[in-house]
Amino acid sequence: MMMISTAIASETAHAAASAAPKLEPLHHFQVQKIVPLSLFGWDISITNSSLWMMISVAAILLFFKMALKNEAKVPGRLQSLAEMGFVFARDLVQDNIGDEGRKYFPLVLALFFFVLFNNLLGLIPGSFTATSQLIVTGTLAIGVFILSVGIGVARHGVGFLKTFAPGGLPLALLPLMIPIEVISFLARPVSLAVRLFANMTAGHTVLGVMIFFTVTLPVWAGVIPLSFAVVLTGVEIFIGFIQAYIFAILTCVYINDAMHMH
Amino acid sequence: MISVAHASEGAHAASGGGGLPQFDASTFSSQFFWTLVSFLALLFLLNKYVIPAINRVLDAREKTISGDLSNAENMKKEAQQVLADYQAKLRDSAKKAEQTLADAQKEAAQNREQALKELNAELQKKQDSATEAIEQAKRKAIEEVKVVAADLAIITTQKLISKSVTKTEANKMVTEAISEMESAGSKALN
Amino acid sequence: MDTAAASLIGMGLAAAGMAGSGIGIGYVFGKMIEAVARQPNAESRVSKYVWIGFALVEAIALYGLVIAFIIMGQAG
Repeated sequence: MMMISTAIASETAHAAASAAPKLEPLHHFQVQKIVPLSLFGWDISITNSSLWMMISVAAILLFFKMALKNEAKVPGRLQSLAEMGFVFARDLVQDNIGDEGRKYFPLVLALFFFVLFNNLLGLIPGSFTATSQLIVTGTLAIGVFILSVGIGVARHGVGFLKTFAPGGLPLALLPLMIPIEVISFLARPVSLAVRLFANMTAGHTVLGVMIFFTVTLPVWAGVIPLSFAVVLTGVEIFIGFIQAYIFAILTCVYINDAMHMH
Repeated sequence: MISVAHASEGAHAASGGGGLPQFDASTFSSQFFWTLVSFLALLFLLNKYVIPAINRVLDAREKTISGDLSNAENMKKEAQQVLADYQAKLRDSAKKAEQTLADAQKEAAQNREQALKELNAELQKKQDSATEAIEQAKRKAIEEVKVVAADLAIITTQKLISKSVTKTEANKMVTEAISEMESAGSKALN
Repeated sequence: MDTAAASLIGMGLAAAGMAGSGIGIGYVFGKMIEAVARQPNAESRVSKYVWIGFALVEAIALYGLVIAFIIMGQAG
């Protein structure tokens, strides 16, 4: 690590003066303690990550509170937006799980808005993107995974194991197929967590690199990375929506798979 | 990738083995805890306040819309009722007019029939009286002819008896008698 | 071979894995456009699966990225 660092450092050094800012695009993923706390020997300090998660939650609630201030029959702009998100999540659940899924609608709605607001608030300069933390997305993904397994076991009992042996296969193939199915099943929470975290990390890293170049290059050349950064910010907003949608829809798909085994 | 920060800043280097800060396990417990807490709080609050509120709004709107729709339906029904009434009335009045027309026609026909009958009766009467008058005149004429014929016969017979006549005389007498009778007849007829 | 140099090579190779994901995403959207062009009223149904497929394919590229990051962490 030291070797790489020094190598890069010396390389950047001749691009800019020695006092110039260093290229450290991963720096803003650094979790920093704000209020050290501990519970039964566990470290539960409030960090910048948890602070921005709380800010996101507060922002979601504030958004809905403002939107539903007068519960108008003819909605204003903000209320339309809130209703749109609400109806969107409701249709998502309805289309992917069906009527039985109505129970899980609050979960899907909360997941969608939690991920969305963390993604979007993370784009504010100086803020922290909680969804770029593997453990944050992992917690959500494992929660969804445990829920879907729980639903499957509760509904089908031991029959849930049939998920790993798809019907219509010749017996000879089973020893091959079962491990594949088990792995692909266990990969679900991993891919769910890694997709979100890696998307956010990659996007912000590229953005960080672009902005670094904008700052270090001479003004006439810096315009190019700056315009890239502007476009990428728009792309990141889009990706924030897409990833929240994907997180919500995959949650629905996993719950549906557990409910109605294929 | 590039991670100069770790090498240079002791604080960060102490917290992990380098690489992505995301893989630094020392931050996991606190982030795990706060993710759970904030997500569950969000879920609880959404479930408790936001979802019922939006459902309320959506339900109210749906109710208003369906109420408006049923109102419109009612109004439409009412309008159709009015239209049906109007059409029935129209049909009634048309029927009445037709009835009136038919009555008038019937009456007119009756009147005409009556007048025709009366006229016919009058004519018949006139015809009858005329026929009678003619008949009378005829009878009278015949009566008179009878009288004249008798007179002629008497005169002729008298003349026949008084002298024997030649053929020319006889002819002359007949012509005389006829002309006499003619004059008598025309006198009688007049 | 020097570990630092080897890890740089490994990270580069991991990034090369994105090529496969690029092909995959191209297929996903290309086929979607084809399908929608053929049957425009199926767009809403198709687009749902497209985004799921896109997410699955994109995740593969991101695994490559994560592996690069892991190599970076191990190299130190």
